[in-house]
Amino acid sequence: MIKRPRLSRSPDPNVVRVRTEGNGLGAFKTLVVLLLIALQLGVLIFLYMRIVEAFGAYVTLSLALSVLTAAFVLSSDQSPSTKAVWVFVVLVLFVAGFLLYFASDRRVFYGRSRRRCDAIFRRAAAYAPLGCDTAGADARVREDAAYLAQTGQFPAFRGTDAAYFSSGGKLFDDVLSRLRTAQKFIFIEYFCIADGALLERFIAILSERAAAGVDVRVIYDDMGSHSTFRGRTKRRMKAAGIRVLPFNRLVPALNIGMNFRDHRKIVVVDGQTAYTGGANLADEYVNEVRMYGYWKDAGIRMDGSAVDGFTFLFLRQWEFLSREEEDYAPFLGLASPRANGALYIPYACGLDFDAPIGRNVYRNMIASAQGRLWLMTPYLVPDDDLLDLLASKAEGGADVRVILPGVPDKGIVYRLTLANGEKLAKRGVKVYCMRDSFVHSKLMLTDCSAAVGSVNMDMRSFYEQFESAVYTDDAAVRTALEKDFVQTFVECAPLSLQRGALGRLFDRLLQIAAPLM
Amino acid sequence: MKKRPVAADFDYDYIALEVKRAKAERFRRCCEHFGWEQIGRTADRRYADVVHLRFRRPHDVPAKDALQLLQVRLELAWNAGGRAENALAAHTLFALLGLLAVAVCLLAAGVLLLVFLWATTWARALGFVLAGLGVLVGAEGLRRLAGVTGKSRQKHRAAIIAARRQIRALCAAARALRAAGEEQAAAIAANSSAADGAADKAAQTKNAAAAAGSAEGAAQGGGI
Repeated sequence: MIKRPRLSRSPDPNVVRVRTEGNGLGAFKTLVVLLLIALQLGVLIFLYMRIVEAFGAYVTLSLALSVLTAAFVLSSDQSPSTKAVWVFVVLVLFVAGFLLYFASDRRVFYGRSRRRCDAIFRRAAAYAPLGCDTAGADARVREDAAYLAQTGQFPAFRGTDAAYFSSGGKLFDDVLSRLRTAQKFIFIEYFCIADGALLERFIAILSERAAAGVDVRVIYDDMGSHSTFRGRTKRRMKAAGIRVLPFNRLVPALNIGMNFRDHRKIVVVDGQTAYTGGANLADEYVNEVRMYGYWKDAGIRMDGSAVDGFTFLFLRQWEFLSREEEDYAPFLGLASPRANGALYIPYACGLDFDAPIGRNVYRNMIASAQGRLWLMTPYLVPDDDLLDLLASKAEGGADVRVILPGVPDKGIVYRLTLANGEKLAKRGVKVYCMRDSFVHSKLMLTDCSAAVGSVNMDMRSFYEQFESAVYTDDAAVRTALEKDFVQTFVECAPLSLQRGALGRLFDRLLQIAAPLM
Repeated sequence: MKKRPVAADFDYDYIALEVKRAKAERFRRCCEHFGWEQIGRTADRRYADVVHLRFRRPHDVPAKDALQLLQVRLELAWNAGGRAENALAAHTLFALLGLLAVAVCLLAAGVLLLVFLWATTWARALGFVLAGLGVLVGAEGLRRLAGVTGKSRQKHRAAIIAARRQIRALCAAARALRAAGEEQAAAIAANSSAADGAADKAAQTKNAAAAAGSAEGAAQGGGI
């Protein structure tokens, strides 16, 4: 190894830098995947150009096919902004536009998996937890509950107590103390699991519980965790008796299916306690590692009947990944109902459902909000309809406030987020950025309901990812959320976007691609 | 190099930082206000003016979320001050270079004058013109440099003062948060032990009553 000479002075003008451990192997894996995909793309383009050159009439044929494809797109059920972008792409790149469109059609790359999902859903329906009626609840809540029941068969539950956590640290401290008392089973599902202090605490408890005979299962997303959750750690967990399954294993193939990720965050303990929220199982979510300033997150714990909703979601996902039929009965109906009469509706969204349920829950909550609508999200890249609805609510006199990050994690998405925030601010929405912080919470609070979960206010969460959340009308939870918002407003500054002419032009170009992000 | 997994620690949180050697001691004292205790210090392998500091803090420190946010701001304030000091040094250097350039211009004009002093009239005239130009350009350059550098120096000095003020304020806020948190924790502990004490006393009273009752009963029963 070549020894570099020691220099007297560091070129970094900063006085202090928090050390984060480098992950050379993860970076190498990412580079290999990207290079292989680029190679495949290069080969495809090369072959395609040869075909175009060889067949003179191909250009005419491809133009005709692209026009037909554009007509097909316009008649589809997608949002108007998505349709507009695709028509633009298909016609401008007419030589290959129609191929691009159909190559990104999830029916091509997810069709077989969807059929398997449907079969699992049909079989699991026999075990589906029965909810309760929603009589007595606010009419708007009953409407939202009916929507969730109709589109996703998500029942409403009474008899659930909940505790809201305004930070990842508080959430995971509670999760860890609850895991210690597990007797029957522990189900864990996260988008990102990362080696570090938090995961070591989890492994210590999970290993001990697995040794005591508890059924411990972990699902992680392979792309979300690929550079952070090392193979050595997974082997250690498996050796300790913990069952670990990846969701949608990342392969270096040019395949739109690689875009579909499991973004859920679910923990279920003994069928009696469930957690969901925005935080993943990694040190930055509890601020033990510095990535983008202070990491603001949130989560909720439920004890009681509603836990069955999350148990059911997890078991269906597990059955899909393990390809083994699951007996759901031993895992359901274990929680004693609490005295709380508030409604809780655990729900999910993803490609296993026909409708974009996560998006539509937000849409319905926005539409029915009276007086107050507060939102916390790391990304604000929804479709134009949702943006317009938010703005219209503010123009109608409602107190509409949005909290965004003050520190970005993804530059391009952040530019879009701020540009959309500016659009809303111009129409009366109060848009704030939390100073020195990355806001990762996904919260919506209205005057009658609240949603806490993993669903970002962006197209990826609405259309490309598997998400989980809970909808509730519980006044105690709404009060806790309100307190969190009020305390966070103190740490925020109103959005103030400074851009030159070039910056504005760049943002307009990004807006074109936004519906496809 | 392969890394061994870190053993699970439920009692402490850890943080490792790279700090400029000249500021390390002051930074360590700041971290103490946030509840951190330094447990390690090593020299950087690449840069002689950087040290690696390792700290730990009890996991259940009160007001942890607020302390973590303040900690981020503390690091940002330290870095803002450091960058301003760096820029101030760079501006001073720039000013010195500017002065040197002016001196070179004047010297060149002077050399030309000396060379042509013993030459023809036109050369002498050219020498005076060049020298005059050198003085004018140099004076203008100096004036501009003084203006720019002066403003910049003021700006950077103000930034350094603001950063130091912010660091003091953040440390004070952290101390206050910890003190309030510890008071609250002590109050909870006191209430909890008072409640336990009351429960114990009630249990003892009940046991005593039960014992007295059974003794009485035994005494009575003894009569049967």
